[in-house]
Amino acid sequence: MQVSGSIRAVHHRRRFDLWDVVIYTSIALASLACLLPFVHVVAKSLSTDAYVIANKVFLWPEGFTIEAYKKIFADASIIRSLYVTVFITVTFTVLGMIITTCAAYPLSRRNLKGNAVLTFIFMFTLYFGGGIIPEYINISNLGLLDTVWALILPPAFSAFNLLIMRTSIRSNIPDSLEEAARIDGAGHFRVLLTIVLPLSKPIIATLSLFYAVGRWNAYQDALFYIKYATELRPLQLKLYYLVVQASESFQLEMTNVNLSNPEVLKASVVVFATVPILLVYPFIQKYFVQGVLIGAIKE
Amino acid sequence: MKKKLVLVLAVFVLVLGVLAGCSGSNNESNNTPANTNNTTNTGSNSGGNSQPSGDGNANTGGEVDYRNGFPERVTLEIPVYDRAFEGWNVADNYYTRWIQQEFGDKYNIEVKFTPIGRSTEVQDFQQLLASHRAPDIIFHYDMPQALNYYASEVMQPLDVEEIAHYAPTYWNNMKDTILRYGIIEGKQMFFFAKRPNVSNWVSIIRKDWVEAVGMKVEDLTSLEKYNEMLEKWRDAGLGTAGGSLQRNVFNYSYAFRDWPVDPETHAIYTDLSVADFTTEATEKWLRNLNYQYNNRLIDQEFYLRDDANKVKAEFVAGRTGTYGEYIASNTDIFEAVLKNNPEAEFAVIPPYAGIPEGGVPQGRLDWPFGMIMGINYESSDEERIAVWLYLEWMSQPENLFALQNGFDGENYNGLDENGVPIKVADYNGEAKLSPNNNKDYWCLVIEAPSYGTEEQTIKALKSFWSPPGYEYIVEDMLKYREEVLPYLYPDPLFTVPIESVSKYKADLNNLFQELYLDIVMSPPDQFDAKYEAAKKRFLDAGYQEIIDEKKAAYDAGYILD
Amino acid sequence: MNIEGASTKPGGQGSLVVPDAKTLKRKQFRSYMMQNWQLYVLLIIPLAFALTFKYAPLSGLILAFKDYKIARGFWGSEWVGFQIFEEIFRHREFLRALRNTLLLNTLDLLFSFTAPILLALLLNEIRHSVYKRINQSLLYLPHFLSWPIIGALAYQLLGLGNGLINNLIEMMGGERIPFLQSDYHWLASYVGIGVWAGMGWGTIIYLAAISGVNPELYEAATVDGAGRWRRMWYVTIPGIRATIVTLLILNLGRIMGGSFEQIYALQNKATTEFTTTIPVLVYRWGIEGGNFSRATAVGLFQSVVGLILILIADRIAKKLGEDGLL
Repeated sequence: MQVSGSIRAVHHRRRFDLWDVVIYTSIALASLACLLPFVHVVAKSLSTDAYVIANKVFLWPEGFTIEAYKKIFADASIIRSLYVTVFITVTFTVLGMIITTCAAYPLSRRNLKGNAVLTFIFMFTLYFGGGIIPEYINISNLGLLDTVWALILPPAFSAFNLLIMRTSIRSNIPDSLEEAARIDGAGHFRVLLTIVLPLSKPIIATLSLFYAVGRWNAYQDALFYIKYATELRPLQLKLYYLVVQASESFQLEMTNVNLSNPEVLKASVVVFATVPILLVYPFIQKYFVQGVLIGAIKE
Repeated sequence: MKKKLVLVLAVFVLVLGVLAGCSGSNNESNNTPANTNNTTNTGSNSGGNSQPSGDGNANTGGEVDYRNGFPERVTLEIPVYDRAFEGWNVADNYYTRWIQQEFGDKYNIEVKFTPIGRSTEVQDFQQLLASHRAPDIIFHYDMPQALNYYASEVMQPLDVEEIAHYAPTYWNNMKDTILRYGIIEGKQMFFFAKRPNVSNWVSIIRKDWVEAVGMKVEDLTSLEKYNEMLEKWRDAGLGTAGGSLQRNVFNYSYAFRDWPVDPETHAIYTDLSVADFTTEATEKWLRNLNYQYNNRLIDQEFYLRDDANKVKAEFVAGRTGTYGEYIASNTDIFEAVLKNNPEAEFAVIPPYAGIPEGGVPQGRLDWPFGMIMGINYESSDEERIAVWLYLEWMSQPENLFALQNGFDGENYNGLDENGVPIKVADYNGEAKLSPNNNKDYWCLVIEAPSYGTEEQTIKALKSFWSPPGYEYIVEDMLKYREEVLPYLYPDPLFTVPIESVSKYKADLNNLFQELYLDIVMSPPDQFDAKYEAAKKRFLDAGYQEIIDEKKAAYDAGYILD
Repeated sequence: MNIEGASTKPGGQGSLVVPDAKTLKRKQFRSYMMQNWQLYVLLIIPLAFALTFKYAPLSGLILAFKDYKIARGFWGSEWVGFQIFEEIFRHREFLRALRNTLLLNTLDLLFSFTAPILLALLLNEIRHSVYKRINQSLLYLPHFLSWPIIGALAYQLLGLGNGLINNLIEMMGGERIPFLQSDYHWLASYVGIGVWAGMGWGTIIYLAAISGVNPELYEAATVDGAGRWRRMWYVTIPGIRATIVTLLILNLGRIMGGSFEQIYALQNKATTEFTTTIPVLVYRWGIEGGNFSRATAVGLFQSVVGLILILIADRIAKKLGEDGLL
């Protein structure tokens, strides 16, 4: 039995009432509160060091210059690191979603024997961790140091995402659908592929976004696991180093230390690392359309 | 439901136990062969004392002599700070290859460099040590952390005869320092790089502000006069003195101490990592700060300035009139200030400006060593000897010079009259030095480049430190340093680790900040009561223990004089 | 029919093969496995990852009971039992840190947890899809600012001496407010900034959940005469209730934890009443002090408390008719 294609719900045209005004305005204010600080960061990234240090930049660049961006793009290794990061992020997201789905679907079946035990085993990992030294030893023992896999495999399992997806499957996909399919002789693999996955598009989109953004933004693990293979340093790590380096005070150092003011660099780093992922979101948004289930339910 | 829970927990504990067992044995069997060769360093070793001994561990040329190299290839792992300079791979670049060629190949040694993150160095070392992948040298710039490594038992004792045998030049340069500072609990544990007696820390003041209130920079001959000037600044609406949060490095009380220094007081209370909160000197310092704060002579939000950039921001914006930094020729501080305050002029603050009337400009003298190093407890005899050979090779003037300056005809063209290379501007060839001039490689033998005699070195460094147009700043800085040199003295050094320091210092640092800020920012009439209460709290939080332990060590003679 | 022991009456009508309890169970199990073995195959992958990457390092937890010396490794270091825990609980800062942790996390739950829900509900009311999309994207921006940056911005805006807002207030004749430099003000600012930073990103999960609600329910409600707010109350919220409960329980497990970075970015050394929390102590003892055993012990304490709370919350949720976690 196939789920009939989604039919967009028909929206009535209601009168635009007072509440609408209130709601639209408060949302706008909230958005503004979120936007302005970012505009400030962008303004800083395009300003001259001296004014930024003196905290004279607010929403508009002072002493307009693209020096910091030039510095970022001049480093060829940053472009390369962009590719590496994209690879890592995409692979990580795909792998993470596979793992999450493989755990969420079985656990969403209430009649699964051992459901509580398994859920507990998974959930336990959310709250108990060994610490950086044992984790490092583990990665070292597995031979993953200085490889991209050290950044992809260990964090791919996320109990948090798994539980969210399980909840979503349970609430949004009526048991009747599954039962009907099973009666028709479909095995669980079939049910997963033909019923559950198509109907879970919003949650898959959401969790993919979480995985992707989480991996994109984080650099603390790369800080410790990527030492020799410097060409594998992800973007955020490189940018972190750029900023840290620029802040160091070089005692007894001499010329040729290329200091560049950290404030402006920090700001451009934020912009540079954020823009790619911001561009991804609009593509995910379309999966959040309501009404995917219309016609599928026969109550 | 209850049964389920019990079942769940039981299965879980079982799984955990199994895994714990597995990874546990994994750890043990990961010991490198070198470990079994070495006699352990927990006390019962033969070659580990400073008396000449030719037995057991040490190799002083008795049986096999490796001075011409090793029969079988030895892998030497050297740690190097990785500052993630763009386009620079610390483990593989022109100079690492050059080192392999000039040194490694000659002695049949494979030289490998282990990157250590500058900002995560302790964690990096801990992780490497825990997974038995640490390099042959364990190093750190600070003695307290070096002592921590010692206490973690990750270093092996050394035989100085062996060092003298394999690294005569290095030994000649460093033997005094090594013998004096490297012995802990009777065992020779550390060796060092040399630190020349130079400093490029400069304290700058807004000369135009000083003159605007009718004074001259030379007038600042005491703290009282300095505060007077600050009052004039305040009344004229110019700004305040710069201020910052006291953190991590506690050398604030020197200016307020009595002279001459009482050795016992100095030994017990002076500590770079723990504030001497209960001493009179601190009380005077606090009173002064309290006065300055309450009279709005100092940055009213000085406690928010918890890093160098924040302090800089205030100076650049023209809100504060004093600022300090390690000066280099490419510093941007003057330019930045001028952009925001075109009328600014700069001068160096005279040394007596921070000293109460009648006092002398006491200060902390750096130890004669830079990098503190120890040998990994898991390193084999051959690897250890390879370290000495490496240091010896690097101590040869021509090798050191090449590492620090590059090659004639490439990075520079000839030497000037001071023996300083005439740099080729914007050299971008193969032999390009790292952005900090390969410091992270040659810091194992010396902290700063040297160009022959101390005089010549100072001349060369002057040119490296002076921003164009501000040479007078550096001149004054050096002149003042000469003046205060007689009053500078190093920290006390105990020959046993003071455990209570490592135990309490993180907490005491935090407590110190909380307490001193509260005292400084309270009205003057509350000072006495608050300070008394604060002292008690500080002592109770572990400082009393530290004092007691240090006194006991001092009385027992475990201190260098 | 309750005949003990297998009995098959030979031949004939009226005879019924009724297996005994044990065989029945086995047969049921067989049929269950034949129907559901695929589920277990699916579970192999996540289990493998969880065991290899999450459970393997857990042996490090043993360090909470040992005086860890790196050279001796996990197993060679001396066993000290609960001594480390005693030290921690008796530490002068611990009680205050405990109080602050609970306080900050509870406030967090009250405000930062609920704000995204409210925001998602409001966003759901917006019918112009372009307007909705643009606002959504804008609301996420704070998530991409790291805490050090947010901290610097916060002081630039709210600083007592030179903050932009205070400058404006003074210009308008008011008195400067120590948003971040007085204890209770700091607390309010901390919570407010936390809400600001997380509210946009937090709406994503709720919006996804809302989109799973059957639109026919809305239609039915409208036909019944329900206005906007009633629809929200009777359709939307129940529709996402499971998600809310799940997230709530998961967050309760973090009651002893919390973000070190957020505090570190917003704190200053003169306003210290509420700024020392358990994660801060972990950082101070573990990273600044290098005392890995202690840091592990505190971590273990946090984890155990979190786990207990989750189990309790789960029980309560089940009693209230929700699905719960386990």
